[in-house]
Amino acid sequence: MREARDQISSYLLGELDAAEATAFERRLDANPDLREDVERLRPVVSRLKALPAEIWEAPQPPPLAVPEGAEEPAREPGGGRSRPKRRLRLPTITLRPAPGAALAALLLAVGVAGGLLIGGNGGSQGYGTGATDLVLRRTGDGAPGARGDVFVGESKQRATVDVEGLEPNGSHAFYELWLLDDDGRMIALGSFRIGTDGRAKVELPIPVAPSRYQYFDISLQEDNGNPAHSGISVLRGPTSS
Amino acid sequence: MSEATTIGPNPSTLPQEFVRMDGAMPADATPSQGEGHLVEGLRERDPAALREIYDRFGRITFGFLLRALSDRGAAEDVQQQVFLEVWRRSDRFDPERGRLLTWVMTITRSRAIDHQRRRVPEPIDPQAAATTGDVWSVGAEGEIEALAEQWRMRGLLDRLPASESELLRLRFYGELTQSEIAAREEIPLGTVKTRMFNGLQRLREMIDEENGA
Repeated sequence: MREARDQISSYLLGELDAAEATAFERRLDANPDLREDVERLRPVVSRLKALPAEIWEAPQPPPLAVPEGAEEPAREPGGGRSRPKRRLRLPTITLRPAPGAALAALLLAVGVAGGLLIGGNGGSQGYGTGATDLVLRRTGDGAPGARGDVFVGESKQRATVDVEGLEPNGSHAFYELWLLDDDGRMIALGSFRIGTDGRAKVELPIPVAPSRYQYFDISLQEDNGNPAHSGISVLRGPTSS
Repeated sequence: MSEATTIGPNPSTLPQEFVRMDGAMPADATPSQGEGHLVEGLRERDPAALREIYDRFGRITFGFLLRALSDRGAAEDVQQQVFLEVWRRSDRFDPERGRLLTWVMTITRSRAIDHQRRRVPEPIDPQAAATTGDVWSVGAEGEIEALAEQWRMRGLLDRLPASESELLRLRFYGELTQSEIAAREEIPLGTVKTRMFNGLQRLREMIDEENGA
């Protein structure tokens, strides 16, 4: 029996030479039980062979944030989330140092994905009754002096983002405006750059009612083709005043 | 035991710190401790139960999320969401319908898919939105499903006795033959073959068990 089991593993692993393999296959033909054993294990070997290296190298996970009674985490005044031991739902709030190649990014702001750059002498116009001016506050490890405002027009279809004190994004990163809420829903509204003066004023379309989300959020994104939120939020504020 | 990350797939480059299985390899340990106390602990709102579940499966879910989301920050966030959900919804876990690993991986896969759906740039044109959503759901969700299966396999490997799981690692990751393993670990070739067979057999039984067979 042991000899047969040894042969099974060697056969499935391709470690029998041609003559041994032929002889073993003859045994399989003559012994349905032995064949059944082989066929039961064959897909296991196939799955193991197909496992990529990363499966064997499983990375160390971040520390578990144990819920304390499963209650919701504390919130910062103004609707933001404090820096909790447990990070739940909202993206990680840390600011990586901006790349050193900031000199290349002299434009104040470049609207992307339909965003419209507004010049320094411009600004939001025509926000009469019904327009909303919302404050964005620094979050995470962002630049200490970072601040901003979001002006939502009366039509609620466009917003002007006015920020200052942000770190220049460099040539391989950009900033992105989001609408998001606590349970992780979010949509990207548009991207822009920050030059050496740390300021930008950008008008962006809003395809949904901001009130359907809890926060405006600005993230620093790497230019890596990944449309997902980087998890590096630098400014955030509620969608209602 | 050294970390698996020190292992190279090429046998000629296998570092010496690779986990050794000495001739005096301990007898097979219990491959998987019972899960009943974990389920009970969750239902009694005992954080220690959640910690143990995280110790068992956190590496698997995080590895899956890293690959599925291609974004470390997002993977870390979704990882926390998953285990918060495990904590909150423990009353929905039915041991009769599957093991904890399958349940946790099901939650992980679902949250990964939710995350990816949200992260697709929101098109302004509603028709474009519908198109984009369809494209994503057909392609990426299938890939995520396959990826989850691979990581579930890793979870099963973790439940094997150490002597068997390390041997399988040497064979399928280290790409050593059974003879090379025997020489390297200084154990009889027959022992290697027996443990190889036993490991494969045990994996098969766990797969059947996970699948409800």
